[in-house]
Amino acid sequence: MNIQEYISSGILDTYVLGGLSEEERLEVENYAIIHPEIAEEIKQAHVVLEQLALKNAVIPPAFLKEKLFEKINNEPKTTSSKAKPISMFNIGSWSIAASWFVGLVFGGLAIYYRSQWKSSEQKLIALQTQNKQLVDSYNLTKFGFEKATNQLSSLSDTSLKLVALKQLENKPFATAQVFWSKSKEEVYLSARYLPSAPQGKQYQLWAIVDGKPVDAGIVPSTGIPELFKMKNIGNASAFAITIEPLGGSVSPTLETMCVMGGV
Amino acid sequence: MIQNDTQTFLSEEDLVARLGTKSKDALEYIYDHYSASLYGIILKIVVREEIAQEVLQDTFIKIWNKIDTYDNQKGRLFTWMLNIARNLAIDRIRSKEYSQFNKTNSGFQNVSMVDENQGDTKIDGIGMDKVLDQLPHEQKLLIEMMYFKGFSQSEISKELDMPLGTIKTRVRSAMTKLREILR
Repeated sequence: MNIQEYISSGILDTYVLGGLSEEERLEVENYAIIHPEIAEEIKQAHVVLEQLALKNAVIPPAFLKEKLFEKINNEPKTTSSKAKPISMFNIGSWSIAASWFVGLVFGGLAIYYRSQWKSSEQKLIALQTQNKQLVDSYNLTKFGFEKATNQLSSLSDTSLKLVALKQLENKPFATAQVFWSKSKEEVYLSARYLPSAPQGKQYQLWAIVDGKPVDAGIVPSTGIPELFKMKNIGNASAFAITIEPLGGSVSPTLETMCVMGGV
Repeated sequence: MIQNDTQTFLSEEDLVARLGTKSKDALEYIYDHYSASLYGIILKIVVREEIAQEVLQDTFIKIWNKIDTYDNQKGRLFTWMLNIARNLAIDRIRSKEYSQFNKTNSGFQNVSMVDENQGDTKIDGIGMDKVLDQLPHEQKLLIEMMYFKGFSQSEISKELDMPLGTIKTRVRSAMTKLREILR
């Protein structure tokens, strides 16, 4: 359904002015539940009629208020409509009663089907949402799988050398593995056993080249244990990881070094 | 105790909840705040003051008894009350009793009679007519027939020999214009 066309057709204005049949009215109310734009348009039209009523206010005579409260105090639960008692011995009344009965049955059916319809609409919306969540979750899984496949194929590269980075003395438990291909200068890091970095901090990998630390890249804090491709390093005697502020540092903060391993 | 002065302001939510517990103070509050607006629209529809007074009373009794059917998803409390007042007033002008009283004044002839009648009775609610008079004649006629006389679009379509689509687009233009005027 084109919502803008529906709105500009004037059906909602006809609805608020009371010009629709019962069936058309229910249709509008159901669309309003599904489409917030329609609900908003109806609200705007209601405001117009409210303002019109405010402009047209006429103060009723004061005695009316007393009369009303007298009535409410005396008959707290009845309406003012005068119900005529139906005589059960009159054929005319029987037909009235019968038509009331038929009316009630059809009214009841209408209400029943309307509520069924409403609940199906709601179920449909719920299913659509659920379906979207499934698609999202499938795409995420597929993405993860493809990534893992790529990583696996890089690990099967025979030139890769495993460098185990070990927990330093007086530091919390942590280990990490670097897979380094000297010939291709490729560095991969498995950060599976690194605890998550403190708030506002990130892990940073360093390669020790000729006794000096060289930035080998920041470890993304994805929360997902996986293999990260780091910066290319051609020559290194060791690898180490420090905790640095977000975005990393130019040179390592030695006090925060947590794991280290020689090649 | 809710005070009667207009300084006291209660949120709709609060009012609905209090009415639901049959608080007469809450009813008094809505009477003080809304009766003039409701009476204005009832008068516009039924024209005769003594009937308008009865309809206003019926309106508040219905509000009092039916507050549990109020659904804030379908509109604000004020809109709900306006619809009750309007519908009861329309029921009244379409009832046998009323049309017998206004034999010469029934059905569509009523539309053209509205302004004359209101010219005779001295009422304050001229704001609405002033606003409606700013609409092109054919738009004003449709609003009068639909909102104040209670005719459905199909009835109007038959009566004026006008396609339903045209009625709806004119009603839309009228409401858009009213929105600009009342802004």
